Amino acid sequence: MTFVQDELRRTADDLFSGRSGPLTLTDLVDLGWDELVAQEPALAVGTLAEAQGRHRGSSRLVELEIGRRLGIDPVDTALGLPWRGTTLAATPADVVLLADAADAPSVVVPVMTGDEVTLYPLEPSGLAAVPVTGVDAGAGWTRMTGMFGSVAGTVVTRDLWVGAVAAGRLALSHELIGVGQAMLDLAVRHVTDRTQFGVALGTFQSVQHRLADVHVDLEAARAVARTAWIDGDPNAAAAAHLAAGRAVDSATGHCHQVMGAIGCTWEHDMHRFIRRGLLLGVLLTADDWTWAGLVESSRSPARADLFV
Amino acid sequence: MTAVAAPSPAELRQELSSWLRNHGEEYAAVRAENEPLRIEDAMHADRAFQRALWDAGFTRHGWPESVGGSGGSAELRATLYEHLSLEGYRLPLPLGTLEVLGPVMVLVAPELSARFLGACIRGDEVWCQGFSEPEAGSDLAALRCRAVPDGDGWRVTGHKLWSSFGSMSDKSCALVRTGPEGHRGISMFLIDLDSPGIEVRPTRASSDRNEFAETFFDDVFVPGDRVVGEVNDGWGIAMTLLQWERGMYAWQRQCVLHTRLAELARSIPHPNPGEARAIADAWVRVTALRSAAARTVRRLAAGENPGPEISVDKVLLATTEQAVEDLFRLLDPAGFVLGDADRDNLHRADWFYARMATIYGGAIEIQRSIIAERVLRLPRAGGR
Repeated sequence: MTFVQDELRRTADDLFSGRSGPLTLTDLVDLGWDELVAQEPALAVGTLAEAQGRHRGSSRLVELEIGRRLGIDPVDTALGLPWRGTTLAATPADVVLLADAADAPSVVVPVMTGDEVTLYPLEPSGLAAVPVTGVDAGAGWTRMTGMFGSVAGTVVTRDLWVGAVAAGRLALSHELIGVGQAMLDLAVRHVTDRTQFGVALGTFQSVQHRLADVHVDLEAARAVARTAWIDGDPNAAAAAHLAAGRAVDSATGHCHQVMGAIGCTWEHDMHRFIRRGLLLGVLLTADDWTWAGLVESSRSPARADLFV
Repeated sequence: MTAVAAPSPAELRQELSSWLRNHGEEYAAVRAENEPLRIEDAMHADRAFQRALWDAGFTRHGWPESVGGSGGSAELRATLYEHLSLEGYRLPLPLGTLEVLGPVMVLVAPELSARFLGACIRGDEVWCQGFSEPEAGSDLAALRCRAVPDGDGWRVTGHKLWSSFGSMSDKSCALVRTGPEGHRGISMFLIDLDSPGIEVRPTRASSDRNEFAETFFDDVFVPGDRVVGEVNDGWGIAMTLLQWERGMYAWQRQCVLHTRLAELARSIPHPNPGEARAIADAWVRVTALRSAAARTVRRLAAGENPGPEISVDKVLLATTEQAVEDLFRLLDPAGFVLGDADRDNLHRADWFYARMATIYGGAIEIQRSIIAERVLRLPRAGGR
């Protein structure tokens, strides 16, 4: 198990390191991705997504995880994700594609229709697609705006949609954890090498304790994600996503601080990871259904069986 | 060997539910909602319940036959604790200290365990730790309580404090100095608290409960066969024992915190968005604690040494305790601040207990330093 884990991690690191463009569907096919996910979903998705975060890589992984649950074939259809929450309320759509527009012949968007979700195709006329720039232009995302609704969509039940979002959130959690881990690694290296007052910065308890807290927050996020994979409960995945978001916030604050002035330069990579964390922060954010589900979970006696 | 195979966790849960259906009413005093304000009253009810759980065979699972158990993995104990709490019962208080002291006793002191540990598992006796001293808190290795050889035993003189449930305990697992200063001159003794020369005084905690006690030893005779493990091996034993505090005690606490959070969340049927977020945030933390503690319990049960990473669990335990208890203050400010009902008093007592969580068993600052220096491998601090 550990061997497979290490092997997979090395493979994932190789896939992302030194690559300038995103990981494509073809790359994933070459990796034997579908079989890997079928056999070891937690290990495969967790490892690849975390590596993507650590390398500031990009791929359609989060979208693929959602689409798999909805029966979407990623080769001819891409799922556009709202900038806020998980569904759109009304046309026109303003969504993000986790890829270049050319990679997706057709795009569907999730729209809340009563107590269900309808996947509507974006209509070709008036469709606008621009590369996402903003805080982080490096992810290769596309912002799409366009109309929907005059062509019938595919209705999915609320449960199916919530489960699909949960799968996306779990993948996203691991990517966020990877981003936070990369920041922590940068900070640890800096405070180990950099001396002031004749000693390494890392000997100061105020510095040590900030980074210890980042480590704790990352481990907490990993712990929640582990349970969410065992559990299969969408609320556990939502919890993992919140914990991972908190870990990235923690890393952003503490790691940036202990990097001192060097972390404030364009040259240093710190701001690039901070930017990636901010960018990923817009995906699949909690909506009313999410909060209601989490509150319901906190009341419920049901627990994932962690001893079997 | 007994012929009875250890149950699976699922079977254990079923058996416990079915037993509680038939006998639960006799132990209404141990239901979570009936928690008494005085810790002495809770202890009284808990011990009767603990004895009943033993007689019914439940608390035998996961303990070796040498101490009267029926074998199986420590994971069975963890399963039992969570299911008790899911069924609405408190975890008997003595099981907290038992889980810190018992597993390591079994390993390092098989004969002592065979003679005495059964009473503690049955609920016939309560044991406490005797670790901290006035001048040895987080710097535990500075302890000065001294034991000198006397015939076939030892004479112990010194002062211990912050012993949880100390004023209600029968025995103390005490760290005493039997050698030179520092880590290497420390031994662990299992001391009868009714021995001549011992005075135990309860310490009224900020929670307004007698959470712990201080113990004065004045030339107390302790037989030589009460040394836990080898003479001067006490430090290593204490450190192993603290791993169980990080693991199984944290697991027990997540059971309790889950229950508290559920009680609070149910009391607000229609939370506003801010309240919903606060509840969700606490649930995320308790879920993280549960997952981390489960992994540590699995590792400890398998005989693995989790190493310095275990300090992560301790930080999670402490911060989660405070997050959940703070929620009572946030969501029910009037009850929390002004209420005089027993529930309000209990919520305040629990809040104050949570303040201790970042202090007891090694302050959170110590844990953060361990994580920084031994997990993240930062250069060692020079006492700054």
